[in-house]
Amino acid sequence: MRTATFETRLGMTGKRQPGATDIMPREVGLHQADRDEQDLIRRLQAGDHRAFDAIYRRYFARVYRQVAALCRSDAEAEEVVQDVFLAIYTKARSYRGEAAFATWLYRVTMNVALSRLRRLKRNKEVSLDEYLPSYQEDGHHQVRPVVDWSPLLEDRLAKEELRGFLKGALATLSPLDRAIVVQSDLEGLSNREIGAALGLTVAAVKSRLHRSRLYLRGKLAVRLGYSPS
Amino acid sequence: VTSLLIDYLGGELARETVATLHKHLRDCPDCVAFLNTYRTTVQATRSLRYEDIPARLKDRLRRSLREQIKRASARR
Repeated sequence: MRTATFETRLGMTGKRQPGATDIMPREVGLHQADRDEQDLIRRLQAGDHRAFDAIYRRYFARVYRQVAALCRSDAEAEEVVQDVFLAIYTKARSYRGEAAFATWLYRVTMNVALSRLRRLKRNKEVSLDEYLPSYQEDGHHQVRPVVDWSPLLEDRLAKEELRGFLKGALATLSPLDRAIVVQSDLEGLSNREIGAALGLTVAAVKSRLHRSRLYLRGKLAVRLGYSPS
Repeated sequence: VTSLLIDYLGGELARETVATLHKHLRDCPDCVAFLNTYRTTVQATRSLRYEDIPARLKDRLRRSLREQIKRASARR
C-alpha cells in the first residue's frame, strides 16, 4: 500500500512550481513594455533620478521579498534593501544588456545581500551533521523503520503551524546555503541561474541545496518527535 | 537513494535510473518514507512567504535613497 501512496504522489508534485521565468519581468513579450524598460535603464545609467524612482517602484517588492527571506529581522532587511538599490544606482552602467535587466538586478541583489550578511558575523553557524540521515554499512537507514511523518507535517502546515519553526531553521543555515534554498525553493530559479548569480557550478548548487534540504528535513523530523535518520 | 532525490524531484534523472529507483521503492518502505518526508519538506519550504513589507518602509527607504543617490551623483 505504501507503493500505491508513493506512486499516487508522483503526479502531485510536478517539477519546480513557480518556474524559472519568475525572475523575468512579467512584461516579457510585450514589445512596448520592453522598449519602455530599455529607455528607463538608459536614463538610469545616465544618472536620471526619476528613472531610478521608477525602477525602485517596479522592483522594490521583488527585491524586498528576496532579501527578507535571507535576513533575520525587518531592520536587517531594510538595510540590505537600501544597499541593494544604492548598488543598482551606482553600478547601473555595468549593465550591458547581455541578460534581462531583472536577471542582472537579481545578481546584484544576491551579491550585495550575501556580502552584507557575511560581514555581520552573527552567531556561529550550526553544524548540519546532527540532522542529516545516517546509514549502516550495508546502505540501509541507520534507524529503521523510517517513519513517514509527511501526513503529520502536511496537517500541521495546513493549520498554519510549523511555518515559524521552518523559517527559524532556514535562518540557521549559512547565508550562502540560505540564499540557495530561498532562490530554488521559494523563488523557483533553476540551478543554472542560481549558480550564475552566486558564482557556483551547477553541481555545487545542487550539492548544497540537497544538504540543506536534508538538514531542514531532519529539523522537522526532530520537531515532530522522530529521528532525522 | 538519498543522493538521487534532488535529481529525481527535479525531473533530471535518466529514464533508466528512474525505472531502477521505482523498482527499488516498490520493495523498500524505508526509502518511500524517506522520499515522502524529503518531498514534503521541500513543499513546506516552498509554502513559506516573506512578502509582508513593513508599513511605510517603501516610502521611508525611497526618501533615504534619494538623499544618498544625490550624494552619489555629486561624486560622479
